[in-house]
Amino acid sequence: MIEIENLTKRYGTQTAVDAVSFRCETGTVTGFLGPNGAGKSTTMRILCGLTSASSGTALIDGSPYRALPNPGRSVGVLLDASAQHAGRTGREVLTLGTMVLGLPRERVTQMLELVGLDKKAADKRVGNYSLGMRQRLGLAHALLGNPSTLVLDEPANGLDPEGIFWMRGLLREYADRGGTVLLSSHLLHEVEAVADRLVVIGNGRIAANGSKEELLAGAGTLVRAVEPNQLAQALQGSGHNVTPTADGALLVDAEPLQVGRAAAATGTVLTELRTADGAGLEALFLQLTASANAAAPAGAINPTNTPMEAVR
Amino acid sequence: MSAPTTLPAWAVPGATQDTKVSRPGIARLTWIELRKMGNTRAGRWLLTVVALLSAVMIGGLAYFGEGDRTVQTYIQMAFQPIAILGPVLGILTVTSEWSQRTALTTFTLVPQRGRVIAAKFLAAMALATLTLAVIIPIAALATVFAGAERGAWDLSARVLGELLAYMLLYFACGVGFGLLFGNTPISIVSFFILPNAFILLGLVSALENAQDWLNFSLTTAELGDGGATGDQWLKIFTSSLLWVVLPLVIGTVRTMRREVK
Repeated sequence: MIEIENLTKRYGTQTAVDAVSFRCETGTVTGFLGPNGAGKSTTMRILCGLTSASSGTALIDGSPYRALPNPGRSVGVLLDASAQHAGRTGREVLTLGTMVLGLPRERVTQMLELVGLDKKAADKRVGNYSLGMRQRLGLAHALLGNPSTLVLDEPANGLDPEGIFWMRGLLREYADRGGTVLLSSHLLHEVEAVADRLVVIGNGRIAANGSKEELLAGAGTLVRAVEPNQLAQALQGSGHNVTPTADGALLVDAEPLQVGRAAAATGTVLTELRTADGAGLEALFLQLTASANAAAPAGAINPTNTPMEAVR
Repeated sequence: MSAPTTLPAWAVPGATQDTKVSRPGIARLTWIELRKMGNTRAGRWLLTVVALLSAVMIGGLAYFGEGDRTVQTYIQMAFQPIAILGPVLGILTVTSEWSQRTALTTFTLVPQRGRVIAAKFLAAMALATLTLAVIIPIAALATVFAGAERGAWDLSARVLGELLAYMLLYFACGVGFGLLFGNTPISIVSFFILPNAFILLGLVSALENAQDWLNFSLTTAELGDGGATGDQWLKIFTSSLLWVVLPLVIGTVRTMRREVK
C-alpha cells in the first residue's frame, strides 16, 4: 500500500510537486497520469527515497522508503530502464540484484524466463539491448525480490504492442494476487486498459483522482451533428453545459436521451450520439498537455483543481 | 520474446517474504562493489591490462636483465606502472555509477548512500591489496628463472609494507577524486594532473616549504625502498590529508546530496 500525503517539492522558486495526496490500495493498479514534466517522476523519486520532499510524507506499507530494512524486498522500482551499465550483461545485472536482496541465484534464470529474455539475450551486454528489452530487464529487476509493491515509471515505453499486452497481463495478475502497483504514463490509453484507479497530475498538482469507472463515466454525452451550432444553442437554452471537442463533436452534460430529444425538437441531423466515456478525462488530459484555452473538463472532474497555465 | 503472463508461485507478491529480510551488511556490499569493478567490459579490460603490464614488465626485466635481480627488485620495478594505472579503477568504481546512470539502481536498492560509499572505499582498498598480491607470484616466477645468484629471495617486510601503503593511498586518492568530481574524464585527468601541477606552486617562494609537507607526489616518492623515516612518514601523512582525506570527505558530502538523474 502506498500513501502519499500533502507531498511538496520545491526547487528554488519552482514548485515541482504541490501538495500531492493519493493512496494506492493493496490489490489495485493505479495509473499515474500526466504530461511530461507534470511532476510524476519527481513524486515517484521522492516515494523511492532518491529525493527528499520539501514537506509532506510518502509511505509504503506505513513506513518511509529509507526506513525499509531491505527496500528491494518490499518495493520493486523501475524508474528508468535505460539507467543500466552498458557494459554489463542482463544476467549480471540481475545477479547483482539478488546479492543485494539476499536471494538465491536461481532466481536470476527464473526471472529472465518470466520476462521473456532468452539465454542469448541474457548474456548480451545491456548496451546492445533494444529499449523494449531494457524494459523487460528493468521489470525483472523490479520483481526480483518478490515485493508487494511495484513502482514503475513509464514501463511501456519502447515495448511493442505484444510486449505492452504482456505487461498489462502481468501487472493485472500481480495486483489480483495481492500486490500494489503504481505505474505512470503520459498516455491515457496506455494505462486505461490495466488500471483500477487513476491519478492525474498536471503542473505538480492533482487534477483528478478516483476509480477508473468514476472518472471515465459521468462525463456526459458526446454528440456529432451536421449543424452543431443550432443544437448547441438549444441545449444551452435548456441549461446544459456544451463543450466543443477538438474534432468538431459536442460534449454535453446530459443523458443521451435528453440530447436526442433536443436534436429531434430542433430538427438537427445527428451522425453520432453516445455516452462520452472517457471524453471528459481525455479533454482534461489534453488541456493539461496543451494550452489553457482547451475545452473545459466535464463530469466527475473537479474543475477548481484544473490548472489553467500551460504545462511546462 | 513471448512470455507467459501467468505468475508462477515463486514470483507472486511477497512469495519469499518468509525468508529473512535484512539490511545487506557492509561486507556483502563491499563484495558486490568488487564484483562490479570486474563485471563490466571496461573494468575487465583495465584489470587485464594491469595484470598483463606487470607480467610484461617482470618478463622483460628477467629476459633482458643482467642476472642480478632479486624477487624484491622485480616487485619494485613492476610496481610503478601498476601503481599509476590501478587507482583508475578506484575512480571508475565511483564515476561509472554516474556516467552509466547505475546510481539510480544502486541508491534505490541501498538508500543509505554512506554505506555504498563505504563499500566502494573498502572494495578499492581490497583491490589495491590484490593488485600488489598479483605481482608477487609473477616476480617469484621470474626469480626462479632469472634471479641473482646470491640473495635472490631476500624480501624485506618494510619494502612490502611501503609498497602496500603507496597502493592504498593512491587507490584511496582515486576514490576521493571520483567522489569529488563524480565524472570519469574530469576525475581521471585531475588525478594525474593536479598533484603534478601542485609542484608549480613551489615556484612561489612563500609556498616552497609547503611542498615538502603537502606535495603528494614528492612525499610518496620516498616509499618503496623500505627506508622511509619517521619524518618522511609524517610528511606523507600531512600530504595525504590534502590529497586523500579532503577529497574523500568533500566528495562524500557531495555524493550524499547529489540528485540522482
